[in-house]
Amino acid sequence: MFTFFKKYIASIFLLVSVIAGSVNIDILNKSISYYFNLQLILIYLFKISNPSLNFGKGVYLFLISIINDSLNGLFFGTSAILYFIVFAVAAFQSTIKLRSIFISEWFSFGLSLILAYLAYYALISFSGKDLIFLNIFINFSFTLIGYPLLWFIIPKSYLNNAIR
Amino acid sequence: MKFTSSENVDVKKNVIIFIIIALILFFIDRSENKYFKIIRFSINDAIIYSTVIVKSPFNFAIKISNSITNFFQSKNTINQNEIIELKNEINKIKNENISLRLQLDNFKKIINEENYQFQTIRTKVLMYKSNILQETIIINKGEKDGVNVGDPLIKNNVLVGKVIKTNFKSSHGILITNINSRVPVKIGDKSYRAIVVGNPNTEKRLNLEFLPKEFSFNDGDYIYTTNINNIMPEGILVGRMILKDKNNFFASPLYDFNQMDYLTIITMKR
Repeated sequence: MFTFFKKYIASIFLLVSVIAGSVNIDILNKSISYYFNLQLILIYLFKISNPSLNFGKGVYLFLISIINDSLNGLFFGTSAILYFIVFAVAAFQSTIKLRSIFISEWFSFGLSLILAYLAYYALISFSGKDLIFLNIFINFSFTLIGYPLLWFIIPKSYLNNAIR
Repeated sequence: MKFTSSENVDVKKNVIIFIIIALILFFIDRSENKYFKIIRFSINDAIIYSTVIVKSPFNFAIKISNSITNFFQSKNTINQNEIIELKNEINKIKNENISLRLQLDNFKKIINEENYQFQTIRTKVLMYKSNILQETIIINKGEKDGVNVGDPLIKNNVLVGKVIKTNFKSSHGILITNINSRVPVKIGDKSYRAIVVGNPNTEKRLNLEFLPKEFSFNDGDYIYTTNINNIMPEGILVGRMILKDKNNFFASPLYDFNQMDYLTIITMKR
């Protein structure tokens, strides 16, 4: 049971973070999800820690993104594009590295975030909705800062054992 | 360390396939295709109600802990919930009075204008989701209950937001403080027309667009909805004008958006 849980921990963590996003935890009158995107950190962190992790060949990642779109009232596919951009960069980074260098991983995470937020901005603009640039910048900054925090918090055994 | 294994090629292939699927889904969803709409409504309802069920034990645990805390409090302590409920009731009656007065004044001015009758539906807020784009509320009434996109959401006779997306048995709504919300309004005794838009910097202020070239407001002037093309019913309170000096003014929403357990939807048959 515990081994099974460890295998699927990445998908479970991701699903819980999407569902728990509707729990109201406010900081300075803004919801916690206004400040940072936990899902993007989790996808990158799990994939970079274990290159063989593939989220059920991408199916779980796609299904979780549909749940996120549905709960946030976004068009289907919006979150999936973000998730797969971050996943692709993490997959590429985990393939080319010879050993784990935190700074280079963090830098490539920043790069994946820039790509993901650009795609998000394009998709939202295409949906005919207005988006505040400051909100994106705040979310980007705190997500980038949040990466090392989660890197320290989540035990390495969980990160390395997640394979599905 | 693997550089080019079949596993990595698979990952690359899957990522490309899923990004293409996501893009196709996005464009189909955006196009409001009537066949896809049914699928989207079903998926959304299934996800929303499953999430509510999954979250219910946690909500129940929070309620129990609150009840236990209340039980151990002194009996002489006045029940805070009762005070809030009474305050809400007073506000509701006050706002109803102002709203009716505004409507009456308006009807006096525009005799012969069509008088619309609107139905209301009481709804429960299932969830409150927030992201960098918008703060969304999910309610338990949808298209099958007669809810349409654009229907106003009110609480204590004050406009809180509007419906932006419907499913069969649930809907998504945004608050009037959101920058993507646009509400046609009239302001004060002189009934200046404008569009209320959310302020990108703060939720405690509303922006006014398309104001006439010449206008003069009084401090505390009421802002209320106006019926243009049957978008909104006439006379629902939205906010008040706050004047610092003649050229320095802003609109402030009347509702504090903190107690949104139940709302009322005004169904606009378009």
